[in-house]
Amino acid sequence: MQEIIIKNLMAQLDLERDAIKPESRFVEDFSMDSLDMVEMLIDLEKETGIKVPVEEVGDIHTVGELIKHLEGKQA
Amino acid sequence: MLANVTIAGVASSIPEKVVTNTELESLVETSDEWITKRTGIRTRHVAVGETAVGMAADSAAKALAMSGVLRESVGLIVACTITGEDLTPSMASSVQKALGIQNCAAFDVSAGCTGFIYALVAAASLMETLGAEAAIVVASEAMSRFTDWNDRSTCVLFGDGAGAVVLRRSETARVLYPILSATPDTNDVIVLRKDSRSTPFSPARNTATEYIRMKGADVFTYAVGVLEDTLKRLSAFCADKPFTKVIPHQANEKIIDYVMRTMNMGRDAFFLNIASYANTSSATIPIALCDAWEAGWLRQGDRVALAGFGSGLTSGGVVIDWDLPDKP
Repeated sequence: MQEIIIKNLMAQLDLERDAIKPESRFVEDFSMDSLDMVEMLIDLEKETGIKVPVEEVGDIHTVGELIKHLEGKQA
Repeated sequence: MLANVTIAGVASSIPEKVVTNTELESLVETSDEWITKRTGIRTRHVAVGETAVGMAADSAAKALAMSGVLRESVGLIVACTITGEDLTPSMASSVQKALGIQNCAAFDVSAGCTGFIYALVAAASLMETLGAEAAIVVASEAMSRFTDWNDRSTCVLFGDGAGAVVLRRSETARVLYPILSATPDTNDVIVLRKDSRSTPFSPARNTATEYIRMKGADVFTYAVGVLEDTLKRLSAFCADKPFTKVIPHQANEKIIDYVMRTMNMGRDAFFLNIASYANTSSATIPIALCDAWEAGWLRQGDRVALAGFGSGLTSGGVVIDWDLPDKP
């Protein structure tokens, strides 16, 4: 899951791999807004089949939290 | 079944007053940087003396004059709007009156921001049914009158304007592969409710003037999905001669950017003018069509896909073989 998320973020935000860490914060470190978050989740849903409803976006602040959230849904 | 038609004229009508992002900073807590980064919008035009009906008539008259089609040859007028001044007569009937067309069919279509695609397909289909020689399709919106100027999440997004095309019968079909679709808006993600007046028999449900309300993240999710799906379906329809250009509904540059990326199409394949006009609802596509031709971006012989999405939740697309001579 971590690998999928990192690859998606690299493509979406044009980031280097080293810039993406579990503790990276979407808003503060990547300057992502709510639509960027939705865009990321649409991409991840396409790839993993795991849907994250819009109302759950507010609970996810870091890359690590996203990995945990998706792994929790996958289980 | 669509008649064999071509677009013989195109025109727009835009209100004079321009409102910049910076000007909106005095109305709501926002900034030029915030609006530009999140939407791609820099300015919008706002009707002051203009009306939706007046802009519709103006754009239709200009498109008709450009087409060379005689008024007597117009057998049909289809207008689309969600912000027209009158519940009745229809905007199409008002355009008919303004243009002095004595006898034709005239009615309105309401399909939110997808309205122009619906109206275009309805007109091209009815031209076949009615045996009409020519039709006017016009979209006009005065969104500013239904915008809550205290709501920073929506007031920065919309603008006013109108666009029209004239369809004329042709030997070869140049309006092709219509797609019209709708899915229930179970979460009320785009809503503009009318006030309801009381009668002697029932109380009013709501007497307050209402404004357009949107759930941005839900709209984004819906929009990118249907825009991508519509373009993929249109691509499949015309695999023998693919379209090379796209004029999408101009709601938010981020939606278009997303679809460019997922469709693996270059930015130069998409026409964007949202920076100047913001989202004029059903009018964005005909205004963009007009601007694209006037700017020389859309050339004679081009195959262009038009694709829209909007409240309802509606969506639609169509392919046009552009046949107007290049703008001098």
